[in-house]
Amino acid sequence: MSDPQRIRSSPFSLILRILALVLILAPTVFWIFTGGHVGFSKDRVEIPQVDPITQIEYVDYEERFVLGVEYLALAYGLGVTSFGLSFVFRQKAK
Amino acid sequence: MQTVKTLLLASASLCICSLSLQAEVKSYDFEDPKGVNNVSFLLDAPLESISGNAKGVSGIVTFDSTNPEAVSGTITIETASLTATNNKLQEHMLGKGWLDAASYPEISFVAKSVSKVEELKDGFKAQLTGDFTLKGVAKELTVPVTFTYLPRMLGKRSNGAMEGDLLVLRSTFTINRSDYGIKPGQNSDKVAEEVELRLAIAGAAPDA
Repeated sequence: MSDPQRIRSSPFSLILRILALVLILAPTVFWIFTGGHVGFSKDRVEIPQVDPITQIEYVDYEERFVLGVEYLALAYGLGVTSFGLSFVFRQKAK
Repeated sequence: MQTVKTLLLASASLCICSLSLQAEVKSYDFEDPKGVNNVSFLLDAPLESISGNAKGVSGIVTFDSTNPEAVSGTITIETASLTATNNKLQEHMLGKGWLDAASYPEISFVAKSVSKVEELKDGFKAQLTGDFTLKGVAKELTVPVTFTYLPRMLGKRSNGAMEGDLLVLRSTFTINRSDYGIKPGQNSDKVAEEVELRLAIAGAAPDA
């Protein structure tokens, strides 16, 4: 009965896996930190206001970037691809 | 002699009466340096609704607080003042394919007649008919409008710089973008055909 050939990860595959982890974790943390907006990214944020005399409701804009789900999806896609590629660069143990 | 006196008195009181009635008719300027006057838009899209705001409002409306049916005037919105929360979306919206702000710099409503006037505590509610022009296409629309008359409130709003009256107009109505040649029948899966417009503007009539 022969031993099955052991397969071990190459340094490059390890780098790809770390990259995949970063690509998934970093945008998620940033997304949560900027408010967890479930929608497309915003370049400015609406601040609702009310005029005290006329009672007219209006908005002022604050120039602030809010990460949207399209960037999350892109980052997750790249992360999964990177993780998948890491299996291509495995080495057979001698 | 008595008849002449009576006639004089009658004509004098008639003059005073007509003057006081005349005084109720005022022109309200809707140019707003405070940036409060706004028209917001809202339309459905698959992931989230698209909304934004326009603050480039101007125009003159003549309003008689004792006879709201005699209202007339024009409200204009600077197309380039339409603002969305996403730069790319705003660029597309004002671009040639959609509103083409460079070729059609103004959106306007010209009031023609008022009907179904209902008196409210501090103003009137009515149906206002006029020509709404968007992207160079004018269509007659009848929209619900609330007129809130705020006499002697301009001084408070301008921190005493001017005295006079304020008139607040509020209206919410829906238009169909295809009616105005905005990608008719196209992109309906991404952007709804119906666009809701909400207008809340205040005009000032300073004392002469």
